[in-house]
Amino acid sequence: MKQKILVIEDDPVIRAELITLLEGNNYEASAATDFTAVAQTAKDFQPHLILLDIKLPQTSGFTLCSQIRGFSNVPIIFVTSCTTDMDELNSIMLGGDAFITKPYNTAILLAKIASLLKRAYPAVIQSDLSYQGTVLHLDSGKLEYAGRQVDLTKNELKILCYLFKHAGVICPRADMVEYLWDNQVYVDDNALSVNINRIREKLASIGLTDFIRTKHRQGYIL
Amino acid sequence: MNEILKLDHIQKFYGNQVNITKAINDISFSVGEGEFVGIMGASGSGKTTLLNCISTIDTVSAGHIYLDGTDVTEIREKALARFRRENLGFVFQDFNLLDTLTVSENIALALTINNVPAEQIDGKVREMAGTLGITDILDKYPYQVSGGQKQRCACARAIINRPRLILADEPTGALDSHSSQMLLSTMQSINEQLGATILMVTHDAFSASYAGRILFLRDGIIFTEVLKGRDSRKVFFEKILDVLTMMGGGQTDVC
Amino acid sequence: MNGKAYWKQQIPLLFLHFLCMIALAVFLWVNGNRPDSIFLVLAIWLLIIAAWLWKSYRNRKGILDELLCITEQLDERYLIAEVMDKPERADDRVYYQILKMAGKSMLEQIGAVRRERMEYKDNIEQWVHEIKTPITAMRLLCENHRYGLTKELLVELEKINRFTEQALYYARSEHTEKDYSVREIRLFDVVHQAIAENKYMLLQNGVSIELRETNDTVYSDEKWVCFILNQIIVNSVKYRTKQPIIKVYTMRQGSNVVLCIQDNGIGIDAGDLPRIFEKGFTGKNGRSAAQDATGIGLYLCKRLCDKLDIGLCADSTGQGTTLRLSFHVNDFIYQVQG
Repeated sequence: MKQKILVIEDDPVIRAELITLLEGNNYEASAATDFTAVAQTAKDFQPHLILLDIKLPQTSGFTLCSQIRGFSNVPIIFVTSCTTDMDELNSIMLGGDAFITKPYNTAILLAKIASLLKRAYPAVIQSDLSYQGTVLHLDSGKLEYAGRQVDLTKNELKILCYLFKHAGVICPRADMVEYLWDNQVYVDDNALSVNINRIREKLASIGLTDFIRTKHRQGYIL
Repeated sequence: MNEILKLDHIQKFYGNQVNITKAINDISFSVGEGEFVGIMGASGSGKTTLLNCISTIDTVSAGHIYLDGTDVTEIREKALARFRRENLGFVFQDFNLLDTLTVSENIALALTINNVPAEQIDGKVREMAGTLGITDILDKYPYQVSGGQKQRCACARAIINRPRLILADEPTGALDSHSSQMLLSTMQSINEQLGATILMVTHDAFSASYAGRILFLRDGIIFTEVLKGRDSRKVFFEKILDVLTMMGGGQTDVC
Repeated sequence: MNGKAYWKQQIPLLFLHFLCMIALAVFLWVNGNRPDSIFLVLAIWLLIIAAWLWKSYRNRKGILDELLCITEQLDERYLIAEVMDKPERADDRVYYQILKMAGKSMLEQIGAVRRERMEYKDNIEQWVHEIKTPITAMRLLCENHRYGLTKELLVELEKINRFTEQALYYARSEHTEKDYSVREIRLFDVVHQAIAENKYMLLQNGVSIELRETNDTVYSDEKWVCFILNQIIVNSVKYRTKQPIIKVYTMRQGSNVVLCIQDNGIGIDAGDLPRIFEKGFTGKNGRSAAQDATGIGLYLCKRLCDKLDIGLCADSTGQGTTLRLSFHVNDFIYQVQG
């Protein structure tokens, strides 16, 4: 079941793009358009998490937060272009869970959403990723195939995670490097190749050959 | 509404060569005719200095104070005393009645100083005493009456000349709660029925709740303002307490 | 007070006394008084006058010298009228009145200018907040709909954002009392954030990042430190060589934690090194290497570091530049925290 996120943002472009971003990352996203009845929208949609802009027409994000807190403990992330300390303090005091400034670094935003959801709904365990009979265990960091397992380093796990999520699609090297950077692994092109080769060796050790294929000049593909 | 008092970017420094304090940082506000305004703040917030400047007892370092349209910062010292006499009325914390005169004579003093003809004085005093409910003590001396009654005499003296502005500095400071209440009701009725404009400095939220508007002073500036509007006095009192609690919080106040 | 001038100005008075003395002497002589009694009268008169004048002079000099001294010791000398005692003499009072009036108009001017600047600063803040909306929108659009030129656009967007932040912090650096808060922050968290904010620029320029990550924490303002790191990273990229590398590590120096950002760029000329934090300074390498060296970046960094009490210094060999941020680590705080 996809987790639901409610977006409360007045700029139409940002609103639309946030929804695109969230849905592209496997969430069900909806936006509030009537800012006089936001609390009602929240009640109806029953989101797992809310993205709330502070500067809204007719009302302030803080007021809305208090309203929502009146009937729900749903995690709320405040988003704003204000970077004054008052706002940060206010947001914490009024029951917000996190605070992100515009312009969003999408990787950071998604990471915060993920961590808040994990904290609030621990029952939803990380599902393992699988493709063509190979299972990637995200909690234990192991790859399993035909009954055999191999350990992966943190970096190797991240690389495989990306490949699994884009299974069957060509992953350009530049995208992979960017993804790793978003996860605080600052590899360059060479380091990526080195890591891929090491992964291939490990896969070979459990009988998986030709799992990661190179598309010349384009990238890697599972 | 006519502006009886208007403060325009007031600053006040004082001190000696060792340390200079900026008692008033940058204050601007106005009081309309017939308003009852209170100023609250902790000691050291600058409220006494502010009142001293408004009452022309002290001068400001920068800025302008307009009393009924006249810039008092430009009046020369000689003319200032007369201006004060004719336009301001004072109610102090420690009554300031003359012990050697009767209540009636104390009140009459205000008229004499302003050269009111002798034959009119008695009538005016009686009238004022009637309004404030102190007719029965007119012939007594200050030491013979209670604090509350003394303060009402002080009020009578302050308003008998129909000054443009009445300045009260902690009027309930030396009174017990019952007398305070009576005095404050008196002041409220002076304001409502006689249309007197009152500016009161106080640190006591209860006294402040009798006003129609409160300005909060902190570190020499006006921190915030609350209006009574249509609230009852009780609701207004709670609003005031909320602000005071907030102000006591320190740097990270939510404003 | 100038003694010579003072006495010179007493001459007419002394002359008057002298004339009167002569007149009295003649009068007494004509009336048959003996010379020695005349001399006695004149001598006493002279004595009284001399004593009186001397005392007046001493008094006056004392008061005026002290007044001068007070004025010299004041930081804000235009406040002298507020600080001095009200003078006793009637003619002095007029000068006092004039001093007060002059000081008052001065203070009012200063107040008005200050208010104007505050308004302007608020204006800038307002503008920055507004412009962040279209920047955000563009960024999201780019990230969601990738095509050929997206990466280039994202790099340019990063630049736009950086310059708006610079404007904001420049405006704020003058009024820091209200705009920063000190908390415990993990240095490398801020490092990661700064890298993330410059991700596209770093990737586009093929910059390698080497971190020796530690768990060092310091007490400072996260946003300001992040801004400073941003500037340093941008500089490293601007003045890079082929195959640029940025290394970030920490070290302990006495009671300080020092965050070092080392690059292998074209370095800073030894002659320029002491001047790099000056406003508008671009240096030899600056002028040749980068078209948009405004000289503001490091100036702003130094200013912010000074406000936050962070030591900022730079070293440069021929093979690169290292910038060091020194944070005081106050053991007292840790002890109190238990």
